[in-house]
Amino acid sequence: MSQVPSAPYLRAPLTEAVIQFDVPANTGVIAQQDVVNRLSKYYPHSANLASFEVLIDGTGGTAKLAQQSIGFRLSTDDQADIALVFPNGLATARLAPYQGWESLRDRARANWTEWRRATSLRQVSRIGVRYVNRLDVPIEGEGGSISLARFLEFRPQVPSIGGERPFAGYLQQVTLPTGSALWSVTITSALVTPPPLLKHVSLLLDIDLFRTAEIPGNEDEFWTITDCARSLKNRIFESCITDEARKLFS
Amino acid sequence: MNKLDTAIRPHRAFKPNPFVGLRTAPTGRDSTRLHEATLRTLSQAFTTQLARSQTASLEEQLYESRAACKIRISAIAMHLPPDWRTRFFSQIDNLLDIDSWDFDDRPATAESFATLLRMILFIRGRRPGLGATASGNFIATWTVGRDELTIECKPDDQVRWVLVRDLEGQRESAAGETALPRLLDVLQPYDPQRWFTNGPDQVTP
Repeated sequence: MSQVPSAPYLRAPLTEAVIQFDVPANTGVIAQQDVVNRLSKYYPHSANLASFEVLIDGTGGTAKLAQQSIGFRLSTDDQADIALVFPNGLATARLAPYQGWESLRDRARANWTEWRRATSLRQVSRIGVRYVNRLDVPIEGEGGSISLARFLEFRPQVPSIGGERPFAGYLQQVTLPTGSALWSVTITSALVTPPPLLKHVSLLLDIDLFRTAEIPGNEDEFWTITDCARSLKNRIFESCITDEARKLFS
Repeated sequence: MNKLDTAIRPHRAFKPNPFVGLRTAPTGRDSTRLHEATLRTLSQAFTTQLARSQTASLEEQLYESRAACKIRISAIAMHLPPDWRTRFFSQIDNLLDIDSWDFDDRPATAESFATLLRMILFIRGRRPGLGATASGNFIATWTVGRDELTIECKPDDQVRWVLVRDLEGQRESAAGETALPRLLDVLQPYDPQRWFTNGPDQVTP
């Protein structure tokens, strides 16, 4: 009997991990800038984030483009650690290679401490923990097809519309409550194009866990709650993949 | 039914641009005017953005280029040996450094770097030496004794290769251009594994 690999995986398929805390109101640019300055020791690079909006006057036949600052993106020299300072919250992200939950959580905690020092908005209205995975599946031979069922438990079920011909792309997303009270999750799976590896098909598995109710103000309780996301997201990930997928990154 | 077609797609990301791409609804003059006004506004915005990027200092452009490369490397870090990424970053930093860059050269492009990374993972060989062309393409080089292999990575998985082999005292050179999936096939007569294997920093499957 072949052994089924289990976490922690040798080559974890995680491409990005994010812990984000939202507050119920917007903080001003000066406070955001203060957060940026406080975080600059760890994140030496910063850039403005801007959004663009096209405004159309339906009667006059004119259109305008409005640009608005929506925060700051901070990064380390190796670009693997990122912080996003928004008017209504702070995100701490880590790109691959992933260093583990403790490392990300500790960085998020240090960043959040600086946010709390710089702003008056401290009550968190939403905790978000997002893990973006990419399964790189080798293609055997030329062309052909793969069965998603070999790799994903979370996959689309499509009625026979095109006969037995395989589908050329897919995107599936569900939002549902988890087994843990007050936590919900949005799971997205899709085809990644182009795949970063030749002769591979890459499958996105994006797990976005969040909680918006009964978030404690007490510091210790708050981090205990946040730590709950660790086992939850692991359980959700494991339930979305198959043993065949586990072999890909073990 | 949950079978997915694996036919290799063109190496070009689909970038939906529905608003600009939408054809004007054939309902009347108003929709045409709105469509044209929108296109004019967006065109002005893009022109401004382009002008801004052209006035960015070379140092800023090189920083952006280094940052983009590192983010792309992170996306495939799980397929690289642990210290490989760190050493590759040093190569990128040295190559795209303001002090070593010719002011007339265009900073190496993300499209070329995407091809370089896909090539590295495809051949699973030793870490190459890095260079860049004046037109913004990355160059990978391997040298074993007097045998040299140089590959220019162009956007969209196109590669141009030049090699020199020392065959019992006779120098033989060859060059060509091909799509990346064919690279190992076209190099086969020259025993490409002599450049790719037996190094301490080889990318392993």
